[in-house]
Amino acid sequence: MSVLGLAAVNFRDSKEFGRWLPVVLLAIAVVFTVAAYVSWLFTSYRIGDGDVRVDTGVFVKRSRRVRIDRLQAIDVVQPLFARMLGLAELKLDMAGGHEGRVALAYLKLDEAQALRASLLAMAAGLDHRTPEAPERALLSCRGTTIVGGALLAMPAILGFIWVGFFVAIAVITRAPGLIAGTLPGILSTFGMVWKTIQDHSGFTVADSPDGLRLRHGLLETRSQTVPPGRVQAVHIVQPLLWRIFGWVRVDANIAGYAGRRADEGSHHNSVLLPVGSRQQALVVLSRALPGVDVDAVEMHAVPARAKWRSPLRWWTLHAGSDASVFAVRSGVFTKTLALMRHEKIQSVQLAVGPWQRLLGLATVELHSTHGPVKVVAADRDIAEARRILDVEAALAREGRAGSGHERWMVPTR
Amino acid sequence: MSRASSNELDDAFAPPGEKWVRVSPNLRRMRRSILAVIAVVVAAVFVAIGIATSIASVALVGGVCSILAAAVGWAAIGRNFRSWGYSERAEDLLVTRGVLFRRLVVVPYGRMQLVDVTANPFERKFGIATVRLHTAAAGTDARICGLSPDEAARLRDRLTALGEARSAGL
Repeated sequence: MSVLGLAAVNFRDSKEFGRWLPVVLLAIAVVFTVAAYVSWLFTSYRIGDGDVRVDTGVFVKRSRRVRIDRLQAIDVVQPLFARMLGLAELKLDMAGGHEGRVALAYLKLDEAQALRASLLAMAAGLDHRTPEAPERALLSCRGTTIVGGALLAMPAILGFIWVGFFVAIAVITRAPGLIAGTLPGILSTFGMVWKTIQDHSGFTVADSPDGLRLRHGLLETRSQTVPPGRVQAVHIVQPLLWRIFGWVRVDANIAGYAGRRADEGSHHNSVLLPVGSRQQALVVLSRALPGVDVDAVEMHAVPARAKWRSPLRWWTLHAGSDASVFAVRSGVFTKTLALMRHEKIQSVQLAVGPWQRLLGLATVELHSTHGPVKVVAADRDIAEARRILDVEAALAREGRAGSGHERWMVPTR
Repeated sequence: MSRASSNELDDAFAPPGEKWVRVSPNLRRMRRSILAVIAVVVAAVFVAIGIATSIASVALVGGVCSILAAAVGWAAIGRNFRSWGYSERAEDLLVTRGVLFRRLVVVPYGRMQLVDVTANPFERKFGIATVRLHTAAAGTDARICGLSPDEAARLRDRLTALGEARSAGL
């Protein structure tokens, strides 16, 4: 405010436009502040029996009822300014894509945490006065690893190549002006690398009866809680250069994190482990997919004739399953291992294209909710593919019948 | 290269029970009618151009080509029509379709989020409807074209009833 006032004094002697500009800016600032205040004033929530009602809107009233047993995840987010003021935003993720997200902004931090605790208690089938479940730290990522991982991943590498290319051209042609061409590359790369580092800094994973607790963020901090059984599918990814240090990343499909707009970052809140060792990945996996031994799943290669359809990667294509999960491994440069529990399958598809038909190959895809993880077993032998389809459909059925209900703290019948 | 016998392919897309439930021949009739109208219009345009410019070859080549294309389309529609099929099992629905790109989708009833029945003006004219199944996965592409309205309504009601009975949490 005072800055704008000073600006107004300075502009007094200049042109008409200059005199009015600060006034306009001030008016805009006031309008936004008032609008934010009014919107905050008209936002209310009430915890009912098994649901939360959130009323918003000044002119167009909107009342949303959230069924607590359908809750997929709860995030407490603190953007930088909110953090300075000790405020936080509570985000409730429901299945159902972008519309399925309810945000309560802003609450006091301790109020947000208390609300999260009681919502989780209710979702678990306990009384809402139950205190927050105790948690046990599983792991935290080192800052150097986060930065190293960001620098050895694709955006940064492309940036280095871009810069190297322009510098090389400038040296060869002896035209130093060309070095300016590196600027956009440097800026955009820096932006992407910075975003990764900001999102993942101080990443810690903790385990509690309420599920996985993920905390991360440098300026904007985010604390996510993923209740048990909400992880739909998981993959472990290893970009080429991460092999040097044996680093991997773990992402998950979580129903509530679906349908994000591009500007919210590419699935950055589906990350269970941004960069870590294989041991750390296995620790996270043991919580995301309890009772699954990743290394024990028997993997089968595709027939050699698949080289005619996927000449570069046919030898990396593996798929297999055990009693609880279906697994697919693939990737020449970036290695990926995708895992999905049988009972989480939404549907199964067998597809044969014209070229595959000539070779007697087929692709089986297990459909999961929206997210970074895709479970696609490409170029299987056609008879084997049909067997996989039938077996997965049967296992999915048994798994669903055996899976308990959603209130995880209430003993199953 | 080992060539898959057509047997192997058919085995992979074999119905779970006796045979696939096929869709109404009205689907074929509708598509062929639309094709015929388009072919006639295109042929007429070529002939008109040929007459207007008094170049006989334009009328002749254009007309013959559009009729040939229509013949190919006619046969393709027939094959595509025969490829559609579905089968209701106790716990899931199987849908198969496609000739060049064949596919078979299994959708468990317990996973169904909603069932759509749609009919565009052409479909209504020919007395058919399309049933589309949605799950929580965006990738699920399970639709059945060319059902008679009664069958579509029956399927919708049965699927929603089964879906409710077997509904599982995500």
